[in-house]
Amino acid sequence: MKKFLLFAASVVLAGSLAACGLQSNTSTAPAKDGIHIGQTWVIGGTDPTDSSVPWGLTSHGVSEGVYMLDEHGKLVSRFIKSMEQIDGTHWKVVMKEDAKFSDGSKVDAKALCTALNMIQEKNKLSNATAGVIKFEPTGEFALNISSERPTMAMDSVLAEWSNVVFKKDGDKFIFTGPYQIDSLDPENKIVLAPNKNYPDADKRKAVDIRTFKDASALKLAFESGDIDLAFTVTPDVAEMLKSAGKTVKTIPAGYQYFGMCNMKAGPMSDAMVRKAINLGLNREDYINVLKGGRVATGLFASYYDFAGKEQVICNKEKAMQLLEEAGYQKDASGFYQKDGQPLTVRLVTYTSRPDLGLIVQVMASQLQEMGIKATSSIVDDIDQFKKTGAFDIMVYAQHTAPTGEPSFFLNQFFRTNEPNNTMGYSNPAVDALLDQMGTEKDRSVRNKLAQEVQHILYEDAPALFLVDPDWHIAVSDKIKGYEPYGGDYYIVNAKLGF
Amino acid sequence: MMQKRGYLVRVSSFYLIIGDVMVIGKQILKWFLGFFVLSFLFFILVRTIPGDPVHRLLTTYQLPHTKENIEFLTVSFGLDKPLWYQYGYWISHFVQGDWGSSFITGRDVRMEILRRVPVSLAVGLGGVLLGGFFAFFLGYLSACKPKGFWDKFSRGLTLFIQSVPSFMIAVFLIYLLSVHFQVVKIYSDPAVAVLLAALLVALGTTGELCRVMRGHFLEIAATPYIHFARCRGFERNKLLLRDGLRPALIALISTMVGRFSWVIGGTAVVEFVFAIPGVSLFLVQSIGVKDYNIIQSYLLFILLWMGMVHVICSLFTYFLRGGVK
Repeated sequence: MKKFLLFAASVVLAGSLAACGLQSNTSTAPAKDGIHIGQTWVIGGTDPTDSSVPWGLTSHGVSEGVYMLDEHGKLVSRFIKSMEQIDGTHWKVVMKEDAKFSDGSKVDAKALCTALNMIQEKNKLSNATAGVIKFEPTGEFALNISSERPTMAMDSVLAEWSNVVFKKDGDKFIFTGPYQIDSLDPENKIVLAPNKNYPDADKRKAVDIRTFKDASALKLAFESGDIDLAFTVTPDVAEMLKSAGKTVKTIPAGYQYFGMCNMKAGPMSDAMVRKAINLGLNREDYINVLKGGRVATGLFASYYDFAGKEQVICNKEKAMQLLEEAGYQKDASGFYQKDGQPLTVRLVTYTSRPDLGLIVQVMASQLQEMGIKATSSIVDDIDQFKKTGAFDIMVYAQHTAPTGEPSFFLNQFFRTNEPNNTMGYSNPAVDALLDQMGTEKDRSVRNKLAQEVQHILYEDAPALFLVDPDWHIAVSDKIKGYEPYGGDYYIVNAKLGF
Repeated sequence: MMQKRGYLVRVSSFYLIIGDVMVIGKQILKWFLGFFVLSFLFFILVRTIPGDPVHRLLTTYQLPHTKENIEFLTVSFGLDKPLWYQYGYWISHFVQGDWGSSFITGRDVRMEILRRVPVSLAVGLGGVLLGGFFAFFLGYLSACKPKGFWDKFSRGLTLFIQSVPSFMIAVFLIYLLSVHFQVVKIYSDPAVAVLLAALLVALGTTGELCRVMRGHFLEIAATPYIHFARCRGFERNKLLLRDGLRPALIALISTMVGRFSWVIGGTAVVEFVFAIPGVSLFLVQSIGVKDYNIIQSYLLFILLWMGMVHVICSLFTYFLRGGVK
């Protein structure tokens, strides 16, 4: 029996050690002296026609979109020289001639069209905005584009994350980004080597990216020097790291926090009540509790040309005056009521964005202070919940212009009877401006129209502009000059490590 | 006479074998029935999770929730079909080895689960087995001298494990080793991370099981055969380890069987903190996005795993009892 025990003990220990060894062998080798990045996800595959893989490939610096946003929020392309719109569904394109794939071959019209047609065919998510788009080469560096549905912003459609440039060589995919994949442990770790056919390749170092699902683990990995870049850290951690002398970069997230009012029923269907609440909410309190961000001036991040320019102010006295004009009177307990019915506002948000829960808590107390009874709830699935209409203000987060174009979001959320118009908002003036945006070819004019729409929305208050939030990114001294931009769309950008 | 006796022996052996085959057949039938009944329950349970993967996917990828997109994804996922059809399609393919594709990533579910199993087993199974090993001896040492050092130590350990969350212990351990003293690079060396995570699971298992084992050893010490042996002059503690070993091991295995159910997928906390890409992390993410195929397949996989664990533990117990059923 003693032998049996010894044997069992040996098996247990050997099994554990062998398993550790197995894990060690299956993982990819770290890039020595390179840049080590920790973030919440890593791609699971390299097929650019497969659902969200192209998003990840571009974020990792492996692939490039036909158009991409630069650090100023402007659309730029390494492939397209000019694009002439013939009509609502047709374009003539002239390409730049200097872009190359990582194998050294040129990105010509034939290669670009083959890639984009394959994406349109295999990744149905790429048909979401303009229907099926067809690309036809007309010369070595010239092509025609035709779309199923009309759009005035083909450059923005081509900036959607699904439309990346690639070519297929057997089972392998070859891309054009500043880095190429050295090895991939799906969803866990990716090791990248500089793409020698991308400008300034000799200035780049090897990069590896690891997945950290836990914020504490990410922080500990950064503090221990295991990673050079932690994307992203919470405001609390950012403060702790800063006080310990570490470098933390803060960037506009691109996401916007806003409150959608239920205009179909309840107190928020009254324009005066909406205006009063819009005036009575102090957005600075949200910034304080979130430890960062700016008071929203519209519905887009501050770095966009079409960002709103509204001066969102807080004036509680005026707010209460508006409520009284709307027929509400304070009762003995200090709460507003009308015809014997108390003014009660139901606030709702969802779990996947912890920031929103904090905003709702502060908002509820602000409403109570104004004399408005407020209830708050946090639901798991907001998309299902909003169908019930059982809310008065829904605090929501959305990246409102991931392709640098404001019309997609404004149409989805504020056009009369659109599916995402949860508010039930309808204003013919807004619809007319959105129509105008849909036919206007000049981007600067479209930007001005977007600002006009935001001004009307601020006046009508179907959505309350709340916070233009920030993200915090911790960087080591090795990459102190790294300037992140575009949220999580371009984490590994061409200037990383310069 | 001798011939008749031989005939009777052959007949009785034949009936014994038939009896064994029937028992095994009955067990297999029971497992098959259980498998299909539970698979149906799992299917229904997963479908009752609030929310649906179509809206989750559109939200995740920031795509418009248009009627066309919703219809396209609903049809693509087969969610437009009646529930009974969806169940039949899923289970008939599952038993053939096709566990379907992830709604969110589109990747093969079987491959996704199986490639994460080794690392989860290293942490979970390695930790539980080591924990069982330590608990056995700590329980024995505690029972050797009640109220002695090891008894007090095991009581303290149990109290510590039950009152301090494993998450806090893990963070403290990493901070100490990796940040403060910088002895090891936990996040740069996966083998170190897995070993420490397994030791942490072992610590938790030891803390929870050592007092149970102590109780078993004390029960064994009070049995008549130990008492009789002591009357013959044998030392109590040596008797516990020699004559009490088999019943103690049987007790240990019985106690540990339940813990095997979570060795694959139940160690999310340590996988999170040590950034280990195991099944637990994968499962938590899948539940978050309502990826039905992954959750259903995982539950059935655990059912199969537990079936295997029960068979192995039964065999161990059978041999420890010296072939007595």
